[in-house]
Amino acid sequence: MPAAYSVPLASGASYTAQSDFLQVVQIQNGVVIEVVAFHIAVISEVQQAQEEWLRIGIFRGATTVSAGGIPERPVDEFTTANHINTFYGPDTIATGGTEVLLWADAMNVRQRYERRFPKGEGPRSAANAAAGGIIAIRMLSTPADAIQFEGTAYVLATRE
Amino acid sequence: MARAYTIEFEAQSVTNANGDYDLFSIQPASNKPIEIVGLVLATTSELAEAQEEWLRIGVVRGHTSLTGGTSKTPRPADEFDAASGATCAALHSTIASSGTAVQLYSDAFQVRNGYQFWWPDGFGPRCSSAATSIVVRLIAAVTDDVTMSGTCSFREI
Repeated sequence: MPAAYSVPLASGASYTAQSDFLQVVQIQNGVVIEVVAFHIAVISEVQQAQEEWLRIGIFRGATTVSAGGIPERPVDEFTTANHINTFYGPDTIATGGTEVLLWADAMNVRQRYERRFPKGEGPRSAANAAAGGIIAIRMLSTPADAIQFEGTAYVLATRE
Repeated sequence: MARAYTIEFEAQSVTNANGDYDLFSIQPASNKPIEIVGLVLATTSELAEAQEEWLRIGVVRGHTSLTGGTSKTPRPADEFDAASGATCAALHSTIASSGTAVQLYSDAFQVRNGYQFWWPDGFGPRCSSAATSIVVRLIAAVTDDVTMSGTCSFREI
C-alpha cells in the first residue's frame, strides 16, 4: 500500500538566489516516489511595490542534495517514515548527475501558488540519489530582494 | 464508508493582542479517526492595498490538552448521517502546547484573497484518539484586528 507524506517546507529561511524549495529521494530499493502536489506562499512580499514573478521548475536527475534536512510526515500517524528523505536549500540547489527539467512554471509573489498533478502525472523517480533519483522543486529566478515563504509538498511512496 | 462533517465560525474577531490562535480543533472519538479534507478562511475586514498581509497557517497533530475555544458541533454533510463522535471547537485564543506535537502542513494566505484548500485525495492530515488532537493554527499574530470566517471539512473514517 502506498505511503503518503506531507513535507512542510522550511520557513523562516531567507532566499536570495536560485534555490531548491524541496529535494526528495527514495531511500529504499523498490520504492517509487511521486510528487502529487505542492503549494508555496511568499509571505515576505506585500503590496504592489514588491510584485514580481518567480520562475519555478521541477527537475530530476541530480545525485547530491543540499545540506538542510526537513522532516517528512506520514499523513497516517501509524505509518513508519522510512521511504524517503527530504531536504531544502536556501540559495543552494541539488548538484551532480544530469538533471532534466520536467516541469516549468512561474508564480507572482503576491499570489499563493498551488500545483496539483492529475493522478499518475506527478514527477516520479524510482532511483536512489547515487543513481540520479533526486526530484527538486526549484526557484529558478534570483528574487529582486530576499524572500521568505511557507509551503507544503505531498509525496507518494509506492513499493514496486 | 467515511462520513463528512463541517465545523465553522462566522464573522468572528481575531485580534492582534491574542497573538496566534488555534482556529479549529478536533479530538477524535475512540475507534473513529478523522481526516481533514478541506479548509476555507476569509478575512472580511481587510480591503485595499494598505491592509495587505500574509497570514501563516499550519496543521498540528499531537497536543494532549486544549483550553478555551468555542465548542462546535460537527454538522454532517449528509443530513441522514449519524452524529460525529469527535469533540470540536474553534477560535482558541491560547494555542495548545502540551504533548509531542508534529506540524504536518504549512501554508499562508493573502488576506485580500481569502483561502480555500482541499487536500489531494488520501493526503489529508489524519488523527486518531491515540494522538489526542489535531488543530488548524494561525501561526502568528495578525497585524491588526481582523474579522474572520472559516470552515473546516473533515471525514470520520
